Amino acid sequence: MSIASLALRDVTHRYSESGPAVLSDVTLRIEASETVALMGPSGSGKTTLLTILGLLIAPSGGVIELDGARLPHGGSSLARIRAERFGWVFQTANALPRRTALDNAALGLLVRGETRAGAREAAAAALDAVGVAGLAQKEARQLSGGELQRVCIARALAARPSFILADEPTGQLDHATTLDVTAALLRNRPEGTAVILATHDAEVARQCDRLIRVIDGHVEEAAP
Amino acid sequence: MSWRVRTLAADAILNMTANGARSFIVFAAMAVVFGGLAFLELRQADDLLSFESDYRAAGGYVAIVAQQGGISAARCEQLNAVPGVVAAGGDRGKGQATFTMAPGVLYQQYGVTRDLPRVWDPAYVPAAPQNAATFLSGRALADELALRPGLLLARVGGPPARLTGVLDVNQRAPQAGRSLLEVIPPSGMVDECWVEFTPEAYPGGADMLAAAFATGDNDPTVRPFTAQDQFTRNPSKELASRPQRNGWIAGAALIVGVLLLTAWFRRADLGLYLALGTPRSLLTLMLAIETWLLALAAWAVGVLWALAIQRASGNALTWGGIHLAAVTSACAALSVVIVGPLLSSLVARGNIAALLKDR
Ligand SMILES: Nc1ncnc2c1ncn2[C@@H]1O[C@H](COP(=O)(O)OP(=O)(O)O)[C@@H](O)[C@H]1O
Ligand SMILES: [Mg+2]
Repeated sequence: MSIASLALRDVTHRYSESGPAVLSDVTLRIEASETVALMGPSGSGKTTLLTILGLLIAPSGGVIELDGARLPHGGSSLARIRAERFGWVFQTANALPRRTALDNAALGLLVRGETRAGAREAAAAALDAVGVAGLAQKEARQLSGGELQRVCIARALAARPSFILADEPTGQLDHATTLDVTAALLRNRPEGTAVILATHDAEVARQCDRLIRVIDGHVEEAAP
Repeated sequence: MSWRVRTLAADAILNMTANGARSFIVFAAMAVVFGGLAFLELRQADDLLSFESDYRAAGGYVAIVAQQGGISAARCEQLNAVPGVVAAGGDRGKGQATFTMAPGVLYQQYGVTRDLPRVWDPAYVPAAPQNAATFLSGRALADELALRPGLLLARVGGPPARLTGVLDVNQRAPQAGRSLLEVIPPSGMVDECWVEFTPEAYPGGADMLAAAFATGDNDPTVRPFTAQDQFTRNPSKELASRPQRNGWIAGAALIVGVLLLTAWFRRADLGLYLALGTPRSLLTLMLAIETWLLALAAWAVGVLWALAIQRASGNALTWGGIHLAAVTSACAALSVVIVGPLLSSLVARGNIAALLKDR
Protein backbone atom coordinates (compact mmCIF):
# COMPACT_ATOMS: atom_id res chain seq x y z
CA MET A 1 0.00 0.00 0.00
CA SER A 2 1.21 3.48 -0.73
CA ILE A 3 1.59 5.80 2.26
CA ALA A 4 -1.87 6.46 3.65
CA SER A 5 -3.41 9.89 3.45
CA LEU A 6 -6.89 11.28 3.90
CA ALA A 7 -7.89 14.62 2.42
CA LEU A 8 -10.97 16.79 2.12
CA ARG A 9 -11.23 19.40 -0.61
CA ASP A 10 -13.85 22.15 -0.48
CA VAL A 11 -16.18 19.97 1.57
CA THR A 12 -19.52 21.53 2.45
CA HIS A 13 -22.28 19.88 4.42
CA ARG A 14 -25.92 20.66 5.13
CA TYR A 15 -28.11 18.15 6.98
CA SER A 16 -31.08 19.24 4.87
CA GLU A 17 -31.25 21.05 1.58
CA SER A 18 -32.67 24.20 3.06
CA GLY A 19 -30.69 23.95 6.30
CA PRO A 20 -27.62 25.94 7.28
CA ALA A 21 -24.17 24.91 6.10
CA VAL A 22 -22.72 22.97 9.05
CA LEU A 23 -19.36 22.76 7.22
CA SER A 24 -18.25 25.30 4.60
CA ASP A 25 -15.40 24.78 2.14
CA VAL A 26 -13.33 22.59 4.43
CA THR A 27 -9.99 21.62 2.99
CA LEU A 28 -7.53 19.60 5.04
CA ARG A 29 -5.13 16.72 4.68
CA ILE A 30 -4.09 14.07 7.19
CA GLU A 31 -0.98 11.97 6.71
CA ALA A 32 -0.10 8.54 8.07
CA SER A 33 1.02 8.41 11.72
CA GLU A 34 -0.17 11.94 12.51
CA THR A 35 -2.14 12.78 15.59
CA VAL A 36 -4.58 15.61 15.02
CA ALA A 37 -6.77 17.34 17.61
CA LEU A 38 -10.01 19.03 16.54
CA MET A 39 -11.09 21.76 18.94
CA GLY A 40 -14.06 24.02 18.82
CA PRO A 41 -17.18 25.01 20.71
CA SER A 42 -20.19 22.76 20.89
CA GLY A 43 -22.15 22.76 17.66
CA SER A 44 -19.21 24.01 15.60
CA GLY A 45 -19.22 20.89 13.42
CA LYS A 46 -16.54 18.60 14.91
CA THR A 47 -18.72 15.50 14.93
CA THR A 48 -19.97 16.24 11.44
CA LEU A 49 -16.39 16.62 10.21
CA LEU A 50 -15.35 13.31 11.79
CA THR A 51 -18.34 11.39 10.40
CA ILE A 52 -17.52 12.72 6.92
CA LEU A 53 -13.83 11.83 7.31
CA GLY A 54 -14.84 8.34 8.49
CA LEU A 55 -17.30 7.84 5.59
CA LEU A 56 -20.36 7.50 7.84
CA ILE A 57 -22.17 10.25 5.97
CA ALA A 58 -21.59 11.68 2.52
CA PRO A 59 -20.95 15.45 2.39
CA SER A 60 -23.37 17.53 0.35
CA GLY A 61 -20.48 18.91 -1.67
CA GLY A 62 -16.74 18.57 -2.18
CA VAL A 63 -14.25 15.77 -2.59
CA ILE A 64 -12.82 13.13 -0.26
CA GLU A 65 -9.54 11.56 -1.26
CA LEU A 66 -8.10 8.41 0.27
CA ASP A 67 -4.44 7.73 -0.57
CA GLY A 68 -4.78 10.35 -3.29
CA ALA A 69 -7.78 8.72 -4.97
CA ARG A 70 -11.19 10.35 -5.03
CA LEU A 71 -13.91 8.38 -3.22
CA PRO A 72 -17.49 8.02 -4.40
CA HIS A 73 -20.19 9.60 -2.21
CA GLY A 74 -21.96 6.33 -1.49
CA GLY A 75 -22.19 2.74 -2.54
CA SER A 76 -21.28 -0.60 -1.10
CA SER A 77 -17.52 -0.21 -1.65
CA LEU A 78 -17.51 2.32 1.21
CA ALA A 79 -18.47 -0.38 3.73
CA ARG A 80 -15.33 -2.33 2.85
CA ILE A 81 -13.19 0.80 3.16
CA ARG A 82 -14.77 1.57 6.52
CA ALA A 83 -13.96 -1.92 7.73
CA GLU A 84 -10.41 -2.04 6.41
CA ARG A 85 -9.13 1.50 6.87
CA PHE A 86 -11.01 3.18 9.71
CA GLY A 87 -11.40 2.66 13.42
CA TRP A 88 -13.84 4.56 15.66
CA VAL A 89 -14.07 5.69 19.24
CA PHE A 90 -17.42 7.42 19.68
CA GLN A 91 -18.46 10.16 22.05
CA THR A 92 -20.92 8.05 24.02
CA ALA A 93 -19.01 4.82 24.38
CA ASN A 94 -20.64 2.55 21.86
CA ALA A 95 -20.37 -1.15 22.46
CA LEU A 96 -22.68 -4.15 22.36
CA PRO A 97 -23.85 -3.95 26.00
CA ARG A 98 -24.42 -7.65 26.65
CA ARG A 99 -21.35 -8.96 24.87
CA THR A 100 -18.03 -9.37 26.68
CA ALA A 101 -15.28 -6.77 26.54
CA LEU A 102 -13.23 -9.28 24.53
CA ASP A 103 -15.99 -9.79 21.94
CA ASN A 104 -16.48 -6.05 21.66
CA ALA A 105 -12.77 -5.45 21.16
CA ALA A 106 -12.75 -8.16 18.47
CA LEU A 107 -15.74 -6.73 16.58
CA GLY A 108 -13.83 -4.53 14.12
CA LEU A 109 -11.68 -7.44 13.05
CA LEU A 110 -14.69 -9.75 12.67
CA VAL A 111 -16.44 -7.25 10.44
CA ARG A 112 -13.29 -7.02 8.37
CA GLY A 113 -13.32 -10.80 7.79
CA GLU A 114 -10.84 -12.07 10.36
CA THR A 115 -11.55 -15.49 11.92
CA ARG A 116 -13.02 -15.38 15.41
CA ALA A 117 -9.92 -16.98 16.93
CA GLY A 118 -7.60 -14.54 15.19
CA ALA A 119 -9.78 -11.58 16.12
CA ARG A 120 -9.94 -12.61 19.78
CA GLU A 121 -6.18 -13.02 19.98
CA ALA A 122 -5.56 -9.52 18.61
CA ALA A 123 -8.38 -8.14 20.80
CA ALA A 124 -6.87 -9.67 23.94
CA ALA A 125 -3.52 -8.08 23.13
CA ALA A 126 -5.18 -4.69 22.58
CA LEU A 127 -7.11 -4.93 25.86
CA ASP A 128 -3.82 -5.68 27.58
CA ALA A 129 -2.14 -2.70 25.93
CA VAL A 130 -4.82 -0.26 27.16
CA GLY A 131 -4.74 -1.80 30.65
CA VAL A 132 -8.06 -3.65 30.90
CA ALA A 133 -6.93 -7.23 30.20
CA GLY A 134 -8.52 -8.30 33.49
CA LEU A 135 -11.98 -7.21 32.31
CA ALA A 136 -11.97 -9.28 29.10
CA GLN A 137 -14.77 -11.60 30.18
CA LYS A 138 -17.00 -8.92 31.70
CA GLU A 139 -20.07 -7.78 29.83
CA ALA A 140 -19.72 -4.28 28.42
CA ARG A 141 -22.70 -2.99 30.41
CA GLN A 142 -20.97 -3.92 33.68
CA LEU A 143 -17.97 -1.64 32.99
CA SER A 144 -17.44 1.93 34.19
CA GLY A 145 -17.33 4.73 31.61
CA GLY A 146 -13.55 4.87 31.58
CA GLU A 147 -13.21 1.09 31.35
CA LEU A 148 -15.69 0.89 28.51
CA GLN A 149 -13.97 3.69 26.60
CA ARG A 150 -10.72 1.75 26.91
CA VAL A 151 -12.45 -1.31 25.47
CA CYS A 152 -13.66 0.80 22.54
CA ILE A 153 -10.12 2.10 22.06
CA ALA A 154 -8.88 -1.50 22.11
CA ARG A 155 -11.48 -2.32 19.42
CA ALA A 156 -10.04 0.44 17.23
CA LEU A 157 -6.40 -0.46 17.95
CA ALA A 158 -6.85 -4.22 17.40
CA ALA A 159 -7.98 -3.71 13.82
CA ARG A 160 -4.82 -1.72 12.97
CA PRO A 161 -6.66 0.75 10.74
CA SER A 162 -4.98 3.57 8.82
CA PHE A 163 -7.09 6.14 10.65
CA ILE A 164 -8.65 6.15 14.09
CA LEU A 165 -11.40 8.74 14.55
CA ALA A 166 -12.18 9.60 18.15
CA ASP A 167 -15.10 11.92 18.94
CA GLU A 168 -14.61 13.42 22.39
CA PRO A 169 -13.61 10.01 23.72
CA THR A 170 -13.09 11.45 27.18
CA GLY A 171 -16.05 13.81 27.19
CA GLN A 172 -17.82 11.83 29.91
CA LEU A 173 -14.75 11.12 32.05
CA ASP A 174 -13.10 12.93 34.94
CA HIS A 175 -9.85 14.79 34.36
CA ALA A 176 -7.40 12.17 35.63
CA THR A 177 -9.06 9.40 33.65
CA THR A 178 -9.16 11.67 30.59
CA LEU A 179 -5.40 11.91 30.40
CA ASP A 180 -4.96 8.15 31.00
CA VAL A 181 -7.45 7.20 28.33
CA THR A 182 -6.01 9.66 25.82
CA ALA A 183 -2.55 8.30 26.46
CA ALA A 184 -3.83 4.75 26.01
CA LEU A 185 -5.07 5.69 22.57
CA LEU A 186 -2.14 7.80 21.37
CA ARG A 187 0.71 5.68 22.73
CA ASN A 188 -0.60 2.32 21.63
CA ARG A 189 -1.58 3.26 18.12
CA PRO A 190 0.00 0.93 15.60
CA GLU A 191 2.83 2.20 13.46
CA GLY A 192 1.47 4.25 10.59
CA THR A 193 -1.96 4.79 12.13
CA ALA A 194 -3.15 8.37 12.26
CA VAL A 195 -5.46 9.54 15.05
CA ILE A 196 -7.97 12.38 14.61
CA LEU A 197 -9.46 13.35 17.93
CA ALA A 198 -12.17 15.86 18.73
CA THR A 199 -11.84 17.32 22.20
CA HIS A 200 -12.70 20.23 24.45
CA ASP A 201 -9.68 19.62 26.63
CA ALA A 202 -6.61 21.75 25.84
CA GLU A 203 -4.39 19.35 27.72
CA VAL A 204 -5.53 16.49 25.51
CA ALA A 205 -4.96 18.61 22.42
CA ARG A 206 -1.42 19.36 23.54
CA GLN A 207 -0.56 15.65 23.29
CA CYS A 208 -1.26 15.75 19.54
CA ASP A 209 1.06 16.72 16.68
CA ARG A 210 -1.43 19.11 15.09
CA LEU A 211 -4.34 21.21 16.25
CA ILE A 212 -7.18 22.18 13.96
CA ARG A 213 -9.73 24.66 15.21
CA VAL A 214 -13.30 24.25 14.04
CA ILE A 215 -15.37 27.44 14.24
CA ASP A 216 -18.83 27.70 12.73
CA GLY A 217 -18.10 25.12 10.10
CA HIS A 218 -14.73 26.54 9.07
CA VAL A 219 -11.39 24.95 9.94
CA GLU A 220 -8.06 26.60 10.56
CA GLU A 221 -4.72 25.16 11.48
CA ALA A 222 -3.36 26.34 14.85
CA ALA A 223 -0.28 25.73 16.94
CA PRO A 224 -0.80 22.82 19.38
CA MET B 1 -19.17 -18.51 1.94
CA SER B 2 -16.52 -16.06 3.06
CA TRP B 3 -15.10 -15.99 6.57
CA ARG B 4 -16.82 -12.70 7.13
CA VAL B 5 -20.27 -14.03 6.33
CA ARG B 6 -19.64 -17.08 8.49
CA THR B 7 -18.28 -15.26 11.52
CA LEU B 8 -20.96 -12.57 11.38
CA ALA B 9 -23.67 -15.25 11.08
CA ALA B 10 -22.19 -16.80 14.22
CA ASP B 11 -22.10 -13.33 15.80
CA ALA B 12 -25.82 -12.96 15.13
CA ILE B 13 -26.40 -16.14 17.14
CA LEU B 14 -24.13 -14.88 19.94
CA ASN B 15 -26.14 -11.63 20.04
CA MET B 16 -29.33 -13.67 20.23
CA THR B 17 -28.14 -15.73 23.20
CA ALA B 18 -26.47 -12.75 24.92
CA ASN B 19 -29.78 -10.86 24.79
CA GLY B 20 -31.69 -13.80 26.20
CA ALA B 21 -34.66 -11.86 27.58
CA ARG B 22 -35.28 -9.98 24.33
CA SER B 23 -34.96 -13.17 22.28
CA PHE B 24 -37.31 -14.97 24.62
CA ILE B 25 -39.97 -12.27 24.34
CA VAL B 26 -39.84 -12.44 20.55
CA PHE B 27 -39.88 -16.24 20.67
CA ALA B 28 -42.84 -16.26 23.07
CA ALA B 29 -44.83 -13.79 20.94
CA MET B 30 -44.17 -15.94 17.88
CA ALA B 31 -45.08 -19.16 19.69
CA VAL B 32 -48.37 -17.67 20.92
CA VAL B 33 -49.34 -16.47 17.43
CA PHE B 34 -48.22 -19.57 15.53
CA GLY B 35 -49.59 -21.90 18.19
CA GLY B 36 -52.84 -19.92 18.43
CA LEU B 37 -53.39 -20.19 14.69
CA ALA B 38 -52.66 -23.92 14.81
CA PHE B 39 -55.05 -24.32 17.73
CA LEU B 40 -57.90 -22.46 15.96
CA GLU B 41 -57.41 -24.63 12.91
CA LEU B 42 -57.41 -27.85 14.91
CA ARG B 43 -60.49 -26.92 16.89
CA GLN B 44 -62.50 -26.01 13.81
CA ALA B 45 -60.99 -28.20 11.14
CA ASP B 46 -61.83 -31.59 12.59
CA ASP B 47 -65.51 -30.72 12.73
CA LEU B 48 -65.50 -29.04 9.34
CA LEU B 49 -63.43 -31.65 7.56
CA SER B 50 -65.53 -34.57 8.77
CA PHE B 51 -68.66 -32.63 7.84
CA GLU B 52 -67.12 -31.91 4.44
CA SER B 53 -66.41 -35.58 3.83
CA ASP B 54 -69.93 -36.59 4.93
CA TYR B 55 -71.37 -33.89 2.70
CA ARG B 56 -69.33 -35.11 -0.24
CA ALA B 57 -70.22 -38.77 0.39
CA ALA B 58 -73.90 -37.85 0.51
CA GLY B 59 -73.61 -36.40 -2.99
CA GLY B 60 -73.41 -32.73 -2.09
CA TYR B 61 -71.41 -32.01 -5.22
CA VAL B 62 -73.46 -34.19 -7.60
CA ALA B 63 -75.84 -32.75 -10.21
CA ILE B 64 -78.27 -34.65 -12.47
CA VAL B 65 -79.18 -33.60 -16.00
CA ALA B 66 -82.36 -34.80 -17.75
CA GLN B 67 -83.93 -33.81 -21.02
CA GLN B 68 -87.18 -34.40 -22.81
CA GLY B 69 -86.66 -37.46 -25.01
CA GLY B 70 -83.46 -38.59 -23.29
CA ILE B 71 -79.91 -37.33 -23.14
CA SER B 72 -76.93 -38.23 -25.30
CA ALA B 73 -74.86 -40.93 -23.60
CA ALA B 74 -71.74 -39.92 -25.56
CA ARG B 75 -72.00 -36.27 -24.53
CA CYS B 76 -72.49 -37.32 -20.91
CA GLU B 77 -69.35 -39.53 -20.90
CA GLN B 78 -67.37 -36.74 -22.59
CA LEU B 79 -67.86 -34.65 -19.44
CA ASN B 80 -65.22 -36.84 -17.75
CA ALA B 81 -62.57 -34.87 -19.66
CA VAL B 82 -63.84 -31.50 -18.33
CA PRO B 83 -61.71 -29.95 -15.55
CA GLY B 84 -63.56 -29.87 -12.23
CA VAL B 85 -65.59 -32.97 -13.07
CA VAL B 86 -64.79 -35.89 -10.78
CA ALA B 87 -66.88 -38.43 -12.73
CA ALA B 88 -69.88 -38.42 -15.07
CA GLY B 89 -72.08 -41.15 -16.50
CA GLY B 90 -75.61 -41.90 -17.61
CA ASP B 91 -78.18 -44.60 -16.89
CA ARG B 92 -81.28 -45.93 -18.53
CA GLY B 93 -83.89 -48.41 -17.27
CA LYS B 94 -83.72 -51.87 -18.85
CA GLY B 95 -86.86 -53.44 -17.47
CA GLN B 96 -86.95 -56.29 -15.03
CA ALA B 97 -85.27 -59.68 -14.81
CA THR B 98 -85.71 -62.92 -12.92
CA PHE B 99 -82.78 -65.09 -11.94
CA THR B 100 -82.92 -68.89 -11.92
CA MET B 101 -81.57 -68.97 -8.37
CA ALA B 102 -84.57 -66.95 -7.15
CA PRO B 103 -87.49 -67.96 -9.31
CA GLY B 104 -90.48 -65.65 -9.31
CA VAL B 105 -88.67 -62.62 -7.81
CA LEU B 106 -88.41 -59.58 -10.08
CA TYR B 107 -85.33 -57.39 -10.02
CA GLN B 108 -84.78 -54.03 -11.71
CA GLN B 109 -82.13 -53.75 -14.47
CA TYR B 110 -80.22 -50.59 -15.46
CA GLY B 111 -77.89 -49.89 -18.30
CA VAL B 112 -75.06 -47.60 -17.08
CA THR B 113 -72.24 -45.95 -19.03
CA ARG B 114 -68.65 -46.70 -18.04
CA ASP B 115 -68.15 -43.96 -15.42
CA LEU B 116 -71.55 -43.90 -13.72
CA PRO B 117 -70.51 -46.53 -11.13
CA ARG B 118 -67.87 -44.08 -9.85
CA VAL B 119 -70.58 -41.45 -9.31
CA TRP B 120 -72.96 -43.81 -7.55
CA ASP B 121 -70.25 -45.33 -5.37
CA PRO B 122 -67.20 -43.04 -4.94
CA ALA B 123 -65.30 -45.88 -3.26
CA TYR B 124 -65.76 -48.17 -6.27
CA VAL B 125 -62.61 -49.07 -8.22
CA PRO B 126 -63.23 -50.97 -11.46
CA ALA B 127 -61.64 -54.42 -11.25
CA ALA B 128 -60.93 -54.75 -14.96
CA PRO B 129 -61.43 -52.73 -18.16
CA GLN B 130 -65.18 -52.37 -18.44
CA ASN B 131 -66.45 -53.39 -21.80
CA ALA B 132 -69.98 -54.22 -22.79
CA ALA B 133 -71.46 -57.29 -21.13
CA THR B 134 -69.86 -56.34 -17.80
CA PHE B 135 -72.35 -56.59 -14.96
CA LEU B 136 -72.40 -55.02 -11.53
CA SER B 137 -74.75 -55.63 -8.69
CA GLY B 138 -76.10 -53.35 -5.99
CA ARG B 139 -75.12 -54.29 -2.46
CA ALA B 140 -78.71 -55.23 -1.41
CA LEU B 141 -79.13 -57.60 -4.36
CA ALA B 142 -75.69 -59.14 -3.73
CA ASP B 143 -76.55 -59.73 -0.06
CA GLU B 144 -79.95 -61.17 -0.86
CA LEU B 145 -78.66 -63.73 -3.36
CA ALA B 146 -75.13 -64.18 -1.87
CA LEU B 147 -73.53 -62.85 -5.07
CA ARG B 148 -69.86 -62.05 -5.41
CA PRO B 149 -67.62 -60.87 -8.27
CA GLY B 150 -66.73 -63.62 -10.73
CA LEU B 151 -70.04 -65.40 -10.43
CA LEU B 152 -72.07 -66.26 -13.54
CA LEU B 153 -75.70 -65.19 -12.99
CA ALA B 154 -78.32 -67.07 -15.01
CA ARG B 155 -81.25 -64.90 -16.09
CA VAL B 156 -84.62 -66.42 -17.01
CA GLY B 157 -85.20 -65.84 -20.74
CA GLY B 158 -81.88 -64.05 -21.32
CA PRO B 159 -78.12 -64.59 -21.63
CA PRO B 160 -76.21 -65.20 -18.38
CA ALA B 161 -74.48 -62.23 -16.70
CA ARG B 162 -70.83 -62.37 -15.47
CA LEU B 163 -70.67 -60.28 -12.30
CA THR B 164 -67.50 -58.12 -11.99
CA GLY B 165 -68.27 -56.01 -8.97
CA VAL B 166 -70.64 -55.00 -6.21
CA LEU B 167 -71.56 -51.33 -5.73
CA ASP B 168 -72.46 -49.61 -2.50
CA VAL B 169 -75.15 -47.26 -3.77
CA ASN B 170 -76.98 -46.68 -0.48
CA GLN B 171 -76.15 -42.98 -0.29
CA ARG B 172 -76.35 -41.85 -3.87
CA ALA B 173 -78.69 -44.26 -5.73
CA PRO B 174 -80.61 -46.30 -3.17
CA GLN B 175 -83.17 -47.24 -5.84
CA ALA B 176 -80.41 -49.23 -7.57
CA GLY B 177 -79.49 -51.30 -4.50
CA ARG B 178 -81.62 -54.29 -5.55
CA SER B 179 -80.65 -54.02 -9.20
CA LEU B 180 -78.42 -55.54 -11.81
CA LEU B 181 -76.34 -52.91 -13.64
CA GLU B 182 -75.08 -53.59 -17.13
CA VAL B 183 -72.25 -51.45 -18.44
CA ILE B 184 -73.35 -50.16 -21.85
CA PRO B 185 -71.34 -48.41 -24.57
CA PRO B 186 -71.69 -44.60 -24.72
CA SER B 187 -74.09 -44.51 -27.64
CA GLY B 188 -77.74 -43.69 -27.99
CA MET B 189 -79.74 -42.03 -25.26
CA VAL B 190 -79.80 -42.36 -21.47
CA ASP B 191 -82.51 -41.20 -19.09
CA GLU B 192 -80.23 -39.08 -16.88
CA CYS B 193 -76.65 -37.91 -16.80
CA TRP B 194 -75.05 -37.85 -13.32
CA VAL B 195 -72.11 -35.53 -12.75
CA GLU B 196 -69.94 -35.21 -9.65
CA PHE B 197 -67.89 -32.02 -9.37
CA THR B 198 -65.01 -30.95 -7.17
CA PRO B 199 -66.23 -28.62 -4.38
CA GLU B 200 -64.67 -25.64 -6.19
CA ALA B 201 -66.28 -26.45 -9.55
CA TYR B 202 -69.70 -27.34 -8.18
CA PRO B 203 -71.17 -23.81 -7.86
CA GLY B 204 -70.59 -23.13 -11.59
CA GLY B 205 -71.44 -26.67 -12.60
CA ALA B 206 -75.18 -26.23 -13.26
CA ASP B 207 -74.60 -23.46 -15.82
CA MET B 208 -71.87 -25.46 -17.49
CA LEU B 209 -74.18 -28.50 -17.80
CA ALA B 210 -77.12 -26.46 -19.11
CA ALA B 211 -74.83 -25.05 -21.79
CA ALA B 212 -73.30 -28.43 -22.64
CA PHE B 213 -76.65 -30.06 -23.36
CA ALA B 214 -78.59 -27.07 -24.75
CA THR B 215 -80.19 -27.82 -28.09
CA GLY B 216 -82.14 -24.62 -28.57
CA ASP B 217 -85.76 -25.76 -28.45
CA ASN B 218 -85.33 -28.54 -25.90
CA ASP B 219 -83.48 -27.23 -22.87
CA PRO B 220 -82.14 -29.71 -20.30
CA THR B 221 -83.10 -29.55 -16.64
CA VAL B 222 -80.27 -29.62 -14.15
CA ARG B 223 -81.00 -30.39 -10.51
CA PRO B 224 -78.76 -30.93 -7.50
CA PHE B 225 -78.69 -34.47 -6.20
CA THR B 226 -79.19 -33.44 -2.58
CA ALA B 227 -82.51 -31.94 -1.61
CA GLN B 228 -82.49 -28.22 -0.78
CA ASP B 229 -83.24 -28.85 2.87
CA GLN B 230 -80.94 -31.84 3.38
CA PHE B 231 -78.06 -29.65 4.63
CA THR B 232 -78.43 -26.33 6.39
CA ARG B 233 -74.68 -25.74 6.31
CA ASN B 234 -72.23 -25.65 3.44
CA PRO B 235 -68.78 -27.00 4.38
CA SER B 236 -66.95 -25.40 1.45
CA LYS B 237 -68.29 -22.00 2.40
CA GLU B 238 -67.45 -22.53 6.06
CA LEU B 239 -63.93 -23.70 5.26
CA ALA B 240 -63.43 -20.74 2.95
CA SER B 241 -64.75 -18.22 5.47
CA ARG B 242 -63.09 -19.45 8.66
CA PRO B 243 -61.32 -16.46 10.22
CA GLN B 244 -57.85 -17.97 10.49
CA ARG B 245 -57.79 -18.72 6.75
CA ASN B 246 -56.73 -15.11 6.20
CA GLY B 247 -56.30 -14.24 9.85
CA TRP B 248 -52.73 -15.55 9.76
CA ILE B 249 -51.86 -12.37 7.88
CA ALA B 250 -52.87 -10.32 10.92
CA GLY B 251 -50.85 -12.67 13.15
CA ALA B 252 -47.81 -12.32 10.91
CA ALA B 253 -48.19 -8.54 10.83
CA LEU B 254 -48.29 -8.48 14.62
CA ILE B 255 -45.02 -10.40 14.86
CA VAL B 256 -43.37 -8.22 12.23
CA GLY B 257 -44.43 -5.28 14.39
CA VAL B 258 -42.74 -6.86 17.42
CA LEU B 259 -39.60 -7.44 15.32
CA LEU B 260 -39.62 -3.81 14.18
CA LEU B 261 -39.98 -2.65 17.76
CA THR B 262 -37.01 -4.73 18.94
CA ALA B 263 -34.98 -3.52 15.94
CA TRP B 264 -35.82 0.06 16.94
CA PHE B 265 -34.60 -0.53 20.50
CA ARG B 266 -31.33 -1.95 19.22
CA ARG B 267 -30.67 0.61 16.48
CA ALA B 268 -27.47 1.73 18.22
CA ASP B 269 -26.15 -1.85 17.94
CA LEU B 270 -27.12 -1.99 14.28
CA GLY B 271 -25.46 1.38 13.72
CA LEU B 272 -22.29 0.13 15.39
CA TYR B 273 -22.06 -2.84 13.02
CA LEU B 274 -22.57 -0.49 10.07
CA ALA B 275 -20.04 2.06 11.33
CA LEU B 276 -17.42 -0.65 11.68
CA GLY B 277 -17.95 -1.56 8.02
CA THR B 278 -20.64 -4.25 7.91
CA PRO B 279 -22.44 -4.05 4.54
CA ARG B 280 -26.17 -3.47 4.87
CA SER B 281 -26.90 -6.74 3.10
CA LEU B 282 -24.89 -8.63 5.70
CA LEU B 283 -26.65 -6.79 8.53
CA THR B 284 -30.00 -7.87 7.03
CA LEU B 285 -28.68 -11.43 6.89
CA MET B 286 -27.74 -11.23 10.58
CA LEU B 287 -31.26 -10.08 11.45
CA ALA B 288 -32.65 -12.83 9.23
CA ILE B 289 -30.63 -15.57 10.93
CA GLU B 290 -31.97 -14.53 14.33
CA THR B 291 -35.52 -14.37 13.01
CA TRP B 292 -35.23 -17.73 11.22
CA LEU B 293 -34.00 -19.56 14.29
CA LEU B 294 -36.58 -18.00 16.61
CA ALA B 295 -39.45 -18.52 14.14
CA LEU B 296 -38.53 -22.13 13.45
CA ALA B 297 -38.37 -22.94 17.16
CA ALA B 298 -41.55 -20.97 17.89
CA TRP B 299 -43.42 -22.65 15.05
CA ALA B 300 -42.46 -26.14 16.23
CA VAL B 301 -43.24 -25.36 19.87
CA GLY B 302 -46.48 -23.55 19.00
CA VAL B 303 -47.86 -26.35 16.82
CA LEU B 304 -46.89 -29.03 19.35
CA TRP B 305 -48.50 -26.98 22.11
CA ALA B 306 -51.73 -26.66 20.07
CA LEU B 307 -51.74 -30.41 19.41
CA ALA B 308 -51.18 -31.11 23.10
CA ILE B 309 -54.07 -28.86 24.18
CA GLN B 310 -56.38 -30.36 21.56
CA ARG B 311 -55.38 -33.80 22.78
CA ALA B 312 -55.71 -32.93 26.46
CA SER B 313 -59.21 -31.54 25.96
CA GLY B 314 -60.29 -34.95 24.73
CA ASN B 315 -60.61 -34.15 21.04
CA ALA B 316 -59.48 -36.49 18.32
CA LEU B 317 -56.53 -35.46 16.16
CA THR B 318 -56.93 -36.10 12.44
CA TRP B 319 -54.35 -35.78 9.71
CA GLY B 320 -56.59 -33.30 7.91
CA GLY B 321 -56.70 -31.06 10.97
CA ILE B 322 -52.96 -31.35 11.66
CA HIS B 323 -52.28 -30.53 8.02
CA LEU B 324 -54.42 -27.36 8.12
CA ALA B 325 -52.89 -26.31 11.45
CA ALA B 326 -49.35 -26.80 10.17
CA VAL B 327 -50.00 -25.02 6.86
CA THR B 328 -51.79 -21.99 8.31
CA SER B 329 -49.20 -21.43 11.04
CA ALA B 330 -46.38 -22.04 8.54
CA CYS B 331 -47.84 -19.36 6.25
CA ALA B 332 -47.58 -16.92 9.15
CA ALA B 333 -44.07 -18.11 10.06
CA LEU B 334 -42.81 -17.89 6.48
CA SER B 335 -44.08 -14.36 5.95
CA VAL B 336 -42.51 -13.35 9.25
CA VAL B 337 -39.08 -14.69 8.30
CA ILE B 338 -39.21 -13.05 4.87
CA VAL B 339 -40.79 -9.67 5.69
CA GLY B 340 -39.45 -9.26 9.25
CA PRO B 341 -35.72 -8.95 8.54
CA LEU B 342 -36.26 -6.79 5.45
CA LEU B 343 -38.42 -4.28 7.32
CA SER B 344 -36.21 -4.43 10.44
CA SER B 345 -33.16 -3.54 8.40
CA LEU B 346 -34.97 -0.39 7.29
CA VAL B 347 -34.69 0.83 10.89
CA ALA B 348 -30.94 1.16 10.23
CA ARG B 349 -31.26 3.01 6.93
CA GLY B 350 -29.88 6.45 6.32
CA ASN B 351 -27.46 8.32 8.55
CA ILE B 352 -25.29 5.87 10.49
CA ALA B 353 -23.98 8.58 12.82
CA ALA B 354 -27.55 9.43 13.88
CA LEU B 355 -28.22 5.79 14.82
CA LEU B 356 -25.21 5.76 17.12
CA LYS B 357 -26.26 8.94 18.85
CA ASP B 358 -29.53 7.61 20.23
CA ARG B 359 -28.50 5.29 22.95
N1 LIG C 1 -28.32 14.65 12.23
C1 LIG C 1 -28.39 15.99 12.23
N2 LIG C 1 -29.42 16.59 11.62
C2 LIG C 1 -29.52 17.94 11.60
N3 LIG C 1 -28.63 18.75 12.15
C3 LIG C 1 -27.57 18.23 12.79
C4 LIG C 1 -27.40 16.81 12.86
N4 LIG C 1 -26.25 16.55 13.54
C5 LIG C 1 -25.74 17.76 13.87
N5 LIG C 1 -26.53 18.76 13.43
C6 LIG C 1 -26.26 20.19 13.58
O1 LIG C 1 -25.02 20.48 12.99
C7 LIG C 1 -24.29 21.43 13.77
C8 LIG C 1 -22.93 20.82 14.12
O2 LIG C 1 -23.12 19.72 14.98
P1 LIG C 1 -21.94 18.77 15.40
O3 LIG C 1 -21.19 18.37 14.20
O4 LIG C 1 -22.52 17.69 16.22
O5 LIG C 1 -21.06 19.73 16.28
P2 LIG C 1 -20.06 19.40 17.46
O6 LIG C 1 -19.72 17.97 17.40
O7 LIG C 1 -18.93 20.31 17.22
O8 LIG C 1 -20.78 19.75 18.72
C9 LIG C 1 -25.13 21.72 14.99
O9 LIG C 1 -25.81 22.92 14.76
C10 LIG C 1 -26.11 20.58 15.04
O10 LIG C 1 -27.33 20.99 15.58
MG1 LIG D 1 -19.91 16.45 18.78
